[in-house]
Amino acid sequence: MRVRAFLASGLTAFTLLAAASASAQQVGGVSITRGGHNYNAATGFGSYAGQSVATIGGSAGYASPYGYASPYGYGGRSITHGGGNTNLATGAYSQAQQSVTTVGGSAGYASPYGYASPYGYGGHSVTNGGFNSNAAVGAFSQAHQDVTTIGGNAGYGGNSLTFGGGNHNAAIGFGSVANQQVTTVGGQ
Amino acid sequence: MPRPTFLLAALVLLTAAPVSAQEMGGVRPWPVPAYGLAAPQASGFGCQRSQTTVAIGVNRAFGPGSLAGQRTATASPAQAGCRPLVSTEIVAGVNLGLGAGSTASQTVAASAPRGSLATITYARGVNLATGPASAAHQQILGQIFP
Repeated sequence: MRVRAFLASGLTAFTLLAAASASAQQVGGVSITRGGHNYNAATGFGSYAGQSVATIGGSAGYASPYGYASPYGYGGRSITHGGGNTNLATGAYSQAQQSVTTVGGSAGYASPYGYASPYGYGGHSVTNGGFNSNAAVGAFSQAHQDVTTIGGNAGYGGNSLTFGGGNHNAAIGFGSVANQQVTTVGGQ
Repeated sequence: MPRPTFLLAALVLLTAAPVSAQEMGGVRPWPVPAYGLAAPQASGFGCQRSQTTVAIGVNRAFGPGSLAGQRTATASPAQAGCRPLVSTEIVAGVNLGLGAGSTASQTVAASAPRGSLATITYARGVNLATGPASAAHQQILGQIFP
């Protein structure tokens, strides 16, 4: 009985130690890049508003400069958000131009020589470049919007979610012009 | 080994592991190439655990025909031979052309190192040309270098 209890307690301690070490090894990289939710507006008569936002995210997690992967690399998370931008030309004869470029970083293992981790379980890559609004409200106003969102790399064999919809473009004012270009490239 | 002694040793090991992890700083790149599947990074002492880079600018052109220009650049290099575990970068700007015929120009740029575990980047800009015949130019640049 004592032997069984001793083995049980030892097994519990070993399990705890193994879980602690495994959790440390399972920590992948996290890269969160948020370049969206910008606001650009030309409201005055004959006014001009130009906005350019460029966000280039870096890599997170292990990235071997020698091309070898960590044998315990379980990937990470790459979250890239470049949407939710607003561009308005409300004044008469006004002009509003907006350009938003968001490039997400890589999370988890990314070998420059193409070797994948033999135990790499990949990560999650979420890319959202949608929900942008562009409107030319004023008479003879012009509104131009260009939103480019490129998702990051989430490691080997992971999940990749990409969303670039939900955009609004409207030329409401008399003689107004509204141009919108939204490009969303999902992560790998 | 008696059971209380074994349990005590296991408890010491369990408590010592997170303490050592907390006392460990950022990571220092391994100076020599590592062969096989070994991780080419070793624990570094004296390195920062986290690093935050903030660049915020507010620019306004009030008067009629006024001109307001602002250029803000923030570079936050990491310690030599070190890399923070968590790197956070915030780049934000507010640019307002309020006066009639005014011009407001703003550039806010920041550059930060990448973190070993996490890299968080925020970029946000508000640009308004409200005055008649006013102009507002804004550039927000956020960059993470490897």
